[in-house]
Amino acid sequence: MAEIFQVSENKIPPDLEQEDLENWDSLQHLNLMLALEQEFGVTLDVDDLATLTSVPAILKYLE
Amino acid sequence: MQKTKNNRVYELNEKCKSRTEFAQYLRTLARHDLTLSELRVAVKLLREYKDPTLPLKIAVLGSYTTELLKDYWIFHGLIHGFDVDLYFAPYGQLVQELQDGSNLSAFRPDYTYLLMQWSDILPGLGEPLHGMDKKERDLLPNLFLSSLEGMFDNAQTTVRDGAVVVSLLPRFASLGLGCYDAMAERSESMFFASLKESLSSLFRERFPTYHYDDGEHLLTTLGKAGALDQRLWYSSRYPFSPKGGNLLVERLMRFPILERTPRVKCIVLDCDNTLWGGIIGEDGMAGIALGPEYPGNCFVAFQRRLLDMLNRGCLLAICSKNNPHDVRQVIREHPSMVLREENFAAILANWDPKPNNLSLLAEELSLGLDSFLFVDDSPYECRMVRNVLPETRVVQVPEQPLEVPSCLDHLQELEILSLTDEDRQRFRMYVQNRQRQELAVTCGDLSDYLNSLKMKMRISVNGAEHVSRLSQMTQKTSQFNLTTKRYSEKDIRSFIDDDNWMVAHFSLSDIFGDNGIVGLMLASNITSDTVLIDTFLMSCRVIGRRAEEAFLYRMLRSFRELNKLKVKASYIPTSKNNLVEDFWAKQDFIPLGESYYESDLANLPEDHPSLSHFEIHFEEEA
Repeated sequence: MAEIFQVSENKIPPDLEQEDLENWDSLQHLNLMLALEQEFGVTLDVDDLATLTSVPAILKYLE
Repeated sequence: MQKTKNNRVYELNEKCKSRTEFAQYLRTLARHDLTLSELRVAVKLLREYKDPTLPLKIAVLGSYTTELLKDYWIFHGLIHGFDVDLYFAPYGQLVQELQDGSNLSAFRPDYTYLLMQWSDILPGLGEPLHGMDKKERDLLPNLFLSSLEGMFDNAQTTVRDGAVVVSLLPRFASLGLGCYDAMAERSESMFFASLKESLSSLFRERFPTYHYDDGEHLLTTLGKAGALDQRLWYSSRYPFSPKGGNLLVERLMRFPILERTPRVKCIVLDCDNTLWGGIIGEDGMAGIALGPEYPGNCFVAFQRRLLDMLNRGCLLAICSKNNPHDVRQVIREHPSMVLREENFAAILANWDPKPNNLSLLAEELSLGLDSFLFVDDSPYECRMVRNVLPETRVVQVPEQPLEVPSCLDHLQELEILSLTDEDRQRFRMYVQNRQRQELAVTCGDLSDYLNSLKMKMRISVNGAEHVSRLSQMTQKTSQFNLTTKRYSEKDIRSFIDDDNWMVAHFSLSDIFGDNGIVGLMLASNITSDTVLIDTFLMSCRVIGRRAEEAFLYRMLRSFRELNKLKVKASYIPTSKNNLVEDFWAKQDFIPLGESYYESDLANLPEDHPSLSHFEIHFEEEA
């Protein structure tokens, strides 16, 4: 996530929400979704794109 | 979180010694499964090389979401040595940006990409066509073309000298009539095919400096399922899958690549396991794989592809570690060879190191090493050429025969921007040159030789055809070029229209064939007493025949007939044109200092010795 948003890793705490990080805008959110698919070999639904907007939500999905 | 995938990019980087080498591997990865993280790491690593980059300003205006393509643009830019400065217009602001005073016009882009859907240019094209009445449908093509023309007229004032590329998103929606469309009178496919024909003419005739990319390659290469991401399209109006986005940008980058980096002018091919399967020296004519059965048919298909390259204006040459007799025997006698001796500008078969042969070829064909593409199946030979001749591009032929026919298809460097008759005949001229050389050997005296060629020179002044070829010559001629000024087709057209300029070119033919248009003079200050020669150049394929002297003399006589008093010229030295540093002096021009020379037309002799070798036809447009 740090790489996608071009910030240092300490800006990504485990409870991060989209609205709390300036670089996590709608475009970079899409890049993040695509990167998650590539990195973890998952396929997201169109609905997931709208709901995976926080680190806890993403971690929960990946489990 | 695992980082195993990123590691492969770091490992690749460790193995490479130059940015070009690293870039070549990355291109292949990007076409397969390079992730976004890896792409960004690759960009970071590419930037760390000390190799110089060329700055490039690219503006993207889209009628759909385009900003997600940013990473690909930077990546493909760096792969080809460009440091890309990108400007994305705000979403939906296409029309507003194409106005004077907009951010786009302030940005002064080198390339402006218009990424649009057909239906954004004309909304009617988004409606079901079969549902419209005929009258309404028949109006659509002209409305579409007018709308586009309007956009271009605005673009011309906004981006001025920058190039414009129109990329139309292929229509991904399923056909209204389904499979019946192919047989339907109101066929949607045929409607668009016909519209595309008109679109193509519009570009070639009214906007020849603009480029059109129809995006069909996305469908033919990846298909709808591979190129499109429905989720992103419906949620965010961004059409592409990662592979689709990568392929689109890779292809769109061909314009700066072709216009600003050295062109590939000659493909240098190995023979064994490249032009045929197997090794001629070991397997013999009957044992090599070349014919209608697998795997021979893969190599036949590859040779057909190479024939396509010839038709694009590229040359072919052979560089093979083999006995010359063996190679020539296959080329001359094998029934399934598609390429024959006359298709190769040169055939080098010996046991010397290939880099040495490439240097020899460069001399023999009067081409720079940076205009060669070296194609060989051996990783050893490829690595050696990459190391010894870093300016030469290298492609390693795949081991799998099935992958061979398309192994050059992805190279944007082999695309073309225009096609002239000269391009399509280029390879033939090399055969003719070999014949001329053989004649020269039999004629002892230069004068005898030149006379026996029975050369015809056709001089044309201010003719409006061949603008493409004339511009091409100013871009590509570096040796016999007195001032090395590069001009676009637009520039040439404006010189022809300008009363203060004269555009004179000549073509040359002889008993062996036609060399086409080979020389150009651009002169300004035509309305004054003292004419200034801005450009004087000649193709190196006709050097040594005194054609430049005959042409110059004939043009000087023409100036004198127009009552001009003096002609001024200059020589601007470059690393490639010292061949002509004495040219003006040898033509009896007086040096004025600061690389200027002058000829007093009152002293022009009545005749010139070079004229005796040519039959000259002189044509002037009013």
